[in-house]
Amino acid sequence: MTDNTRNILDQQVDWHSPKVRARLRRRHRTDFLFRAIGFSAVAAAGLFLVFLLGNIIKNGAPGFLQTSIEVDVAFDPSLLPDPTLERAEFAAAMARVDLQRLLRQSLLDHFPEVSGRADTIRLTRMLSSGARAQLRDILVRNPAVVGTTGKVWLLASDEVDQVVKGNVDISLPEQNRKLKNKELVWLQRFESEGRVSLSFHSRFITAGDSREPELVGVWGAIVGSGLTLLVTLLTAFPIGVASAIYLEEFAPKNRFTDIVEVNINNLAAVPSIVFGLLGLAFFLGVMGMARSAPIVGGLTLALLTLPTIIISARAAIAAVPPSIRDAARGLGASSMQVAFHHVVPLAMPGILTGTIIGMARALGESAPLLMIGMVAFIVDVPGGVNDPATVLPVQIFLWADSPERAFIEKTSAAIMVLLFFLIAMNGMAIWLRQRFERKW
Amino acid sequence: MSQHILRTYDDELMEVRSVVVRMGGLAAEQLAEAMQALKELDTDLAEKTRQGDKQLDALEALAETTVIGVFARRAPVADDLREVVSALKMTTMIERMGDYAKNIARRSMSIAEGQGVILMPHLLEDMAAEAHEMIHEVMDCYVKRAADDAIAVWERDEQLDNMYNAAYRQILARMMEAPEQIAVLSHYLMIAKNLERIGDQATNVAEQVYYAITGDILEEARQKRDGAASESVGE
Amino acid sequence: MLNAAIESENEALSPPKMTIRDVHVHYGDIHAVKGVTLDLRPDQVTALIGPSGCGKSTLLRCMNRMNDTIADCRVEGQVFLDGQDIYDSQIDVVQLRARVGMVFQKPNPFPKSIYDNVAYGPRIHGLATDRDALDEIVEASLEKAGLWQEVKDRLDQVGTALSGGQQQRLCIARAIAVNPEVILMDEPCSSLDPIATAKVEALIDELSARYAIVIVTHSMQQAARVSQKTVFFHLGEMIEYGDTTQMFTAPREDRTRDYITGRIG
Repeated sequence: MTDNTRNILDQQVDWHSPKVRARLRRRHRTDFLFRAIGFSAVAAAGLFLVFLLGNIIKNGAPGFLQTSIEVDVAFDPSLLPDPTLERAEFAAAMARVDLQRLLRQSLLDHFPEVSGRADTIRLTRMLSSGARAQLRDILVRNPAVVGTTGKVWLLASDEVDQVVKGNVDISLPEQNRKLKNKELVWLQRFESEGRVSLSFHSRFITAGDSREPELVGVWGAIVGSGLTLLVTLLTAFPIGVASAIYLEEFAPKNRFTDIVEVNINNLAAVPSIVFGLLGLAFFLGVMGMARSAPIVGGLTLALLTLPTIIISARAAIAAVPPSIRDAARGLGASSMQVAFHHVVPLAMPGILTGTIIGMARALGESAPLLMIGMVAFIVDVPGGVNDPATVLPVQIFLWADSPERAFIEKTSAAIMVLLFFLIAMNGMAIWLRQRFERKW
Repeated sequence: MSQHILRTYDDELMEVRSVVVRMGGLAAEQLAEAMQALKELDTDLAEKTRQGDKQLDALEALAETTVIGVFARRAPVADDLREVVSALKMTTMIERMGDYAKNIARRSMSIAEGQGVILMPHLLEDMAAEAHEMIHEVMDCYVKRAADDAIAVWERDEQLDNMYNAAYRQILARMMEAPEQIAVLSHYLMIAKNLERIGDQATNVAEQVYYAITGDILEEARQKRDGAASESVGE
Repeated sequence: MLNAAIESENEALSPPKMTIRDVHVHYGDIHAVKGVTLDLRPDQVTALIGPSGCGKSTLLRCMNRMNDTIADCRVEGQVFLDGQDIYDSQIDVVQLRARVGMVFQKPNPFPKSIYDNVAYGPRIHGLATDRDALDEIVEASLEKAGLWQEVKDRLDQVGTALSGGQQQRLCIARAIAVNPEVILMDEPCSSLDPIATAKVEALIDELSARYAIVIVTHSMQQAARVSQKTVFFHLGEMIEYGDTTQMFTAPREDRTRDYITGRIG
């Protein structure tokens, strides 16, 4: 029976025959082809990423800058309260002052040729509505300026800002532009006097939302996201890790745990908006918690992140070699001691990585939060988990929806802030993994 | 017996065994030739016998290298261990048998060269036949792996011892009758002793065969058996 | 017949440390160990040999109830430690495992310092009253495991950074730190090189004066080298039990012979 096979195997193979060479060439060609395809795929992905990031940065970077105009403001004592008043009284009196008038007066002093109601309004509208707040701040901080004239940098309106940034084509016919020719002339005058500057706008980082693009800030959303994630972390992490430890180390392997396992895996694939519906029905409907509050958002996102945390924690726990469990058990450690002295500490980097990735996902979620009302327009920075708040992705969603041209760059700038936090969180996950990963 | 998983191991063990068997055959042949030379006082045949011993020596050396190779590379255990250890000892024993045969041949030459030829005592021929048969039988047991037959060979040694005692007395008596023949007769006496020694070696080989096959020491096994037999007698 | 041999031996020798009487182990439908009866003496090394899946490791794991954690594992029969049935409900398995230590196939030190590796057992069993006592236990255990000279200057180094042979000796030190009476070894040298193996074997030899040692091994030569008694298992059955020398020169059973000489059984 083996005689035939043996004969075949005994034959000398000619490694130099044309047939063999051709086959070898073909093999090298397919090798090369496959490598080329693989490389192109990676290159294409890289290009997309570069394009995406480049686009966002190009659009978003100007969002951090803001045009200001230097105006000589005459702090007319007849329009302002008595600076000798007590500080609190002065502040209270300031609230009733018509700063718009003061501003208008100062601008008209600068442009004596401007007259008529319409032009005056146009002139004052070149400055942001936030300019009044700036003046008020100056006065409240230092009442002594009353009666003097000072040079003050005041925020320009978003339309002026856009022109200064070059985002508006001023060669268009006048009726197609928001900023008319008259205003351009005034702006040129300011520019020629060196009274226009484009500089870093800290307000974008420190302020809350606003209707005016030049007054918006992401701080409210950052704090909202932070509070929401804090709630998510405090709920999802202990529950998730405890479930994972129980399922992996203690639960008997039977039909019931199988079903639990399958369902956890399925939950991870459920669209996030469904969790929003659940949050709406349960936390708002049944528990009657406050709408738009980080606590509700956090709990809803906790539901969303739980499967991710459980799955990754289980994987991390299962990856701890059984020999470590055997070693501990062989020394007489109880199941609890085995789990908490050995398995969990060894699995911790993996658990934390999974948790951070889950948190990063929660940070990027907007859909479920829309369902529980975190989409409201909120100007104030939230002070606690029960205050109405919004989060970064929802803020981005809101701004992207706004009609003003200036909101395009604010949207991109907010995306940059969100990406920064996501990259920071992922970087932390990588660092944790590198730092605590054990070899055995 | 079943094969080893490693076939070359089997081959090496077979090689060892075949060398032992060839040595056994050669030793028996040497004995027969030496006795014939003695009987016929054929010095040429005696010389040929003496030369034949070198072949035995060479085979013994071959057995030794093969066995050492098995130890070094196979680390034999259980029957394999017993097999190779016994083979090593058996080849030494068989080589000794060859030495005794060579001795007989040498003495036959001395007798032939001496004056006044005295014919070989009859008993020596019987002894040689007995010893020859013992060698044959023990090699048979070895080839057939028949432990019980090895006991039979072992027991035959008593018979050879008795024959030796008889021969000893007979030759001694003839020495006293004819003191002038003492020189020749003493050769015959030594030959009788050699034959008895060959029988002893055959017995030793039988012990080795028994041990290689069963793993028990033959003497102990016999004592146990005898003990059991006497017990059963006692009942 | 085998049981009779063991029982007749009992009369002649000191009382056994551990006695195994007619133990059967089932994994679900699989009958992994079929009626094993065995005695382990306090000053002897017993080697369990046999082909893979013959139940020797399973039996070993019965001796300190490591099989408890396997869901569908069922143990019948009795295992006595100093005359007390270890499968009795009164027995605390945690304490049992301190008395019957175990060393595993792959060296498995905890990814902690060498000191903590050895100190872990005494800590969880509260064997040391203070830090000094613990230091003493650690040193004595490492000394006994022949590792003290090699590691005394780097006790705070992580145990997994040692070489394979040192790791295994560290595991042995860890096992003896809780002062066990029996040490079970499941193929302790299978991942070690010959020199490390020789060192571990020398250690086993030294420890055998003080502990009853049971070693499962796939290396026949190792069983021959380190043990005084050898047990041969085949398909869950105990085929032969006897003195190691006798087993390796003249096994009684054909199956034993075929296995140890490498024959096609």
